Amino acid sequence: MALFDTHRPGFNLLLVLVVVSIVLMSLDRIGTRWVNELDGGVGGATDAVIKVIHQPVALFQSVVQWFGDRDQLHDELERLQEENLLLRGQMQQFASLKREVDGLRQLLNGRPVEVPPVLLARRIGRPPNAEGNLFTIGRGLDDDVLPGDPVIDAYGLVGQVLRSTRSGATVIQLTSRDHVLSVLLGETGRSALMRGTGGRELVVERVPERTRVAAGDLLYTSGVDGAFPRGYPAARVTRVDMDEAQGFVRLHAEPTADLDRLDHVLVITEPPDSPTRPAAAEDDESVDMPPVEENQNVD
Amino acid sequence: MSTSWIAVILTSIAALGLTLIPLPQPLQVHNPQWLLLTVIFWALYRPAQAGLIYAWCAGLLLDVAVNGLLGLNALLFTLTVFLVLSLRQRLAVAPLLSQALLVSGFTLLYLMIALWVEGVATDIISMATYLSRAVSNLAAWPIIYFVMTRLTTIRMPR
Repeated sequence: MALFDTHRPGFNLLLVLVVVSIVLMSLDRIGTRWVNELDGGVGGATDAVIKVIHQPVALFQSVVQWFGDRDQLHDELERLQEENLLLRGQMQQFASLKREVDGLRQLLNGRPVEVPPVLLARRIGRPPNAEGNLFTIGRGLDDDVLPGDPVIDAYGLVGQVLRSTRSGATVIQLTSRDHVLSVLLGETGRSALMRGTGGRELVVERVPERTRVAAGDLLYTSGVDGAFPRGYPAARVTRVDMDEAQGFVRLHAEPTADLDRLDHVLVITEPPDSPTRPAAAEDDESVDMPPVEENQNVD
Repeated sequence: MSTSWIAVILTSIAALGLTLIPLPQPLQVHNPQWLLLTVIFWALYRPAQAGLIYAWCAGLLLDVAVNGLLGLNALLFTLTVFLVLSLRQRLAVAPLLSQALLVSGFTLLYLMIALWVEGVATDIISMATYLSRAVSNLAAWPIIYFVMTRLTTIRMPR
């Protein structure tokens, strides 16, 4: 009977597996390519598991929608149609503005502004982690969603793609403790690093005291980090902590994106360091200059 | 009597699914480690099918699923199953309550080591550089061995 066999495991096998694990951890830490490939390969299977688990939730939602109030649905439809019309109207103006800006830039020997293409993706699940700021979307390598691609929603920056498999991708939100990005401080043109805290709050540290930033100011992506294209709203300042002794202030902000209700997001599929990059870099050089000069450049 | 591989794999995937169920944040931290418990169960009662390699693969799957440090759970699954297999003959016939207590003791060790490794891995010192000394020790051991056997009368038993 099986109980009376010892099945005592071999020490050699244990040691080999321990060494393999430690090597794997080190390589993962460094970020080796084939470790990423392994991650993506096995990730396809686990993403499928996450998707299957999420099915009951999606089914429940669709059933609720089916039995939902008909009038309410009609109202919703009407509201969406109005919003669509409004947005389309504004887009016409946007197109003419873009033409105008491109014309002006050409006069200054600049490159035309390129609006990067976006891809609509549906959230299909949420892998568990201590902070709960990862989620999985239903677009992957087959749709050119690569690790590092920025993710936005209707209101602002959501985060970036952490890992992509053939049919899905994992997105890390900008509120994660592991996430840092470069932002422009409102109208001042100064850039600073904004990092997540794991909660709802974002923190910008080491901002020079003379910078004119107040609660309510918008923080935009600066494009300096090469990860996010310039100009997407990322967060709104909620509080400014004065630190007289140090000569610096610390900003507290909250993301503009609606992180609690992310059913659909947009993935910016063009890598940020493609043709638009040199033009952006020219602009970014002036970030270190005094704010007065910067204002002329930005506006 | 013999359980097929398919049962082992299917239950493991089901347990992984149970681990990945999205729960509200306060409940999430208290969700049991279903996959680890399943792996321990198979190691206790079907050690022929579920050995160290199976545990390593299950741990790696969990690592990938939760986007953690790749290899951390694989390492700890392997160590836990090694412990379980070493104590198997005593553990398999123990009453349910003492089994549960022992399993929770194992996972306590598991969680402590996981916390420690994560702290080390996020440190500034590169882990690979730090651990490379183990490889140097591997190379240096024969030197020490030969020098010491020359100097003393200790000989390797043959």
